[in-house]
Amino acid sequence: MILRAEKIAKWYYRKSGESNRFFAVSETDVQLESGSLTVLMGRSGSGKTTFLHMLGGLLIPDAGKVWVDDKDLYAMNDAELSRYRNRHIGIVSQGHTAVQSLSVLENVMLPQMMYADTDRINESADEWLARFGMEHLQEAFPSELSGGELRRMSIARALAGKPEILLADEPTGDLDDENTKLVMNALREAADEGTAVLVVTHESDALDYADQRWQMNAGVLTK
Amino acid sequence: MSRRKMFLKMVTASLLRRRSRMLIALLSIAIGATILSGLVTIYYDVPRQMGAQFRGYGANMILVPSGEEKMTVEKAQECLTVIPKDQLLGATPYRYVNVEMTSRQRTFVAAATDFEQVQSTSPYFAVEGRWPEGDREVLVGKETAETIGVKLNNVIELSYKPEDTYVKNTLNMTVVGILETGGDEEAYIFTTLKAMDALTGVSGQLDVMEMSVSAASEELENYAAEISENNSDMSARLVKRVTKSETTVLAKLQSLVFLVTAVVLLLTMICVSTTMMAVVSERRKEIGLRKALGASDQSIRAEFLGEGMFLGLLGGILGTALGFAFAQVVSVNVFGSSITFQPLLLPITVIVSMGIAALSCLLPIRRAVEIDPALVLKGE
Ligand SMILES: Nc1ncnc2c1ncn2[C@@H]1O[C@H](COP(=O)(O)OP(=O)(O)OP(=O)(O)O)[C@@H](O)[C@H]1O
Ligand SMILES: [Mg+2]
Repeated sequence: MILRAEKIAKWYYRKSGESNRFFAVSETDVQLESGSLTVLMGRSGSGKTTFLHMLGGLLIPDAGKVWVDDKDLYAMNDAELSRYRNRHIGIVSQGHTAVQSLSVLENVMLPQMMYADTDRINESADEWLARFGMEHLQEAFPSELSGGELRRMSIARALAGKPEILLADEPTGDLDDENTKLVMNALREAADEGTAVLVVTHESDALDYADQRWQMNAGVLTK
Repeated sequence: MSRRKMFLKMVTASLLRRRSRMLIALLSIAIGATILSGLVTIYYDVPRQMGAQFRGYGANMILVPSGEEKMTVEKAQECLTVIPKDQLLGATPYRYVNVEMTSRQRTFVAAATDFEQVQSTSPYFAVEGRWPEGDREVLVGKETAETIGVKLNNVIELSYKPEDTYVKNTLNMTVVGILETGGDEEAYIFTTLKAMDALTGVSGQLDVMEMSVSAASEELENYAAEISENNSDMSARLVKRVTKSETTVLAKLQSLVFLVTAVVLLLTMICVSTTMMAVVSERRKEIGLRKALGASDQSIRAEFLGEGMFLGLLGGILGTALGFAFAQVVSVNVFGSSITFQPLLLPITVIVSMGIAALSCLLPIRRAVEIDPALVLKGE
């Protein structure tokens, strides 16, 4: 499986300077492959999240196309794309995200519960939580968790679905060294098992795990 | 844990957490449904109720012979069978004869009738003194009483000369009442049919039958048409003055009811819509997250619509019960009679409530669908 971005760009309009159009992400061609882990680094505001969202089918590019093998992601209608994302793409977002009315375990299982075909349900949700040292928090509610715990919960949520593509936006931002290692190891393992992994991070330690390294600078991606 | 159970848990949790909001939405739907079912009940009951009230303004149908011939009592009775007994509130026969009052040397119109029936078809007839009880007692119209100077308990002699004889028939009658109606009747002298038969020597003849029928004008027209059709020598007509004003008042009342219902339902929609809008903005983050995790717009739509329809269902049932109580109170206080529950009202009210709730959710649902998961994920 290959995720390919073809000349994708995203711009916004902002009143500043001579032109009021500014590129959050300038025209970029990249490729993510099964089994490889890519690390994307860059300063704050350089366009990393914007880029990741476009790859993940969450943000329509203003130009260019995103292909998964020979499938044009943004040519699908909402229902198809939603379902495709649910099945094939795992996303760890930069912000904290949780459904407050569900327990931690239910939050981790939520993506797999969304569609009726139960064949995909695997029981790895609690295993992932245990692996991140959160087995005692399964029945807790998101409002009772710390920032780092919430982060690990959302990583478990992305991993539990065994996605083909995993996009993680600063997954270790609020974690201690020990947990960072745990998480990076888990992501590396997922890549080794065939997932195409993209990790956005500020931490250079993550580079040790990477097969590919990209750099984002004011919307321009360099490999 | 199954998918459905999880979904239910999320919905109930969100409903419970927003209890007060949901209660407000539920309350407004219930109030809307109450007004709807209450007013619809009254709407359909008013013609019946008002019909009874209107019968106080006099007969609304008359039966006359269509040719020169007079009609017989038997024939008139036969025609009446077309109208169901419970709708026929009264039928008053009239026979008009020119009689002479011997002492005054003047002719007057004498109307022979059935006094018991008169009181039901013309309840507004006001009698000074009392209604006649025997065949030798008469009512004298006020106008006539004044012109000839008759007083209560005077005895007057009426005479009539049949065409083929030279001998006058005479009868002595006691005036027991002076009639005041505000109409032409004040010029007449009222006797019983029997007395008139005796005076004229011809019995069983009638000029007109006045009827008071408790029915809507359409139904009345049908009865009239049926009578005229079945009997070529008879003609039944509506008293336009009465039926028309009845129809106009009803139409006005019904359009008022309709208007009030529409306004209340509109207010309900605004209230529910505002509440749901607030719910959507409160749940923005959660909706965005679920979309990011793969929930389709369709499933978000279904969830909110489901929530709204559920409120509509509850509110509709509640409103039907309250609405019936409301209609009952109005009916008892305004018309002095109770109404029976129309079972059909429950499904109608529930369906309308659910429809109103669904309509109110359209805008909030659009807001929910428009939530951009990318914005939510950035952790705004
Ligand atoms: N919806 C938006 N409207 C306008 N400008 C936006 C929008 N989203 C992002 N931007 C701008 O695009 C640029 C890139 O944003 P992005 O979130 O991709 O940065 P980032 O590299 O992820 O930064 P950080 O490391 O702080 O998360 C920023 O300058 C931001 O101000
Ligand atoms: Mg970012």
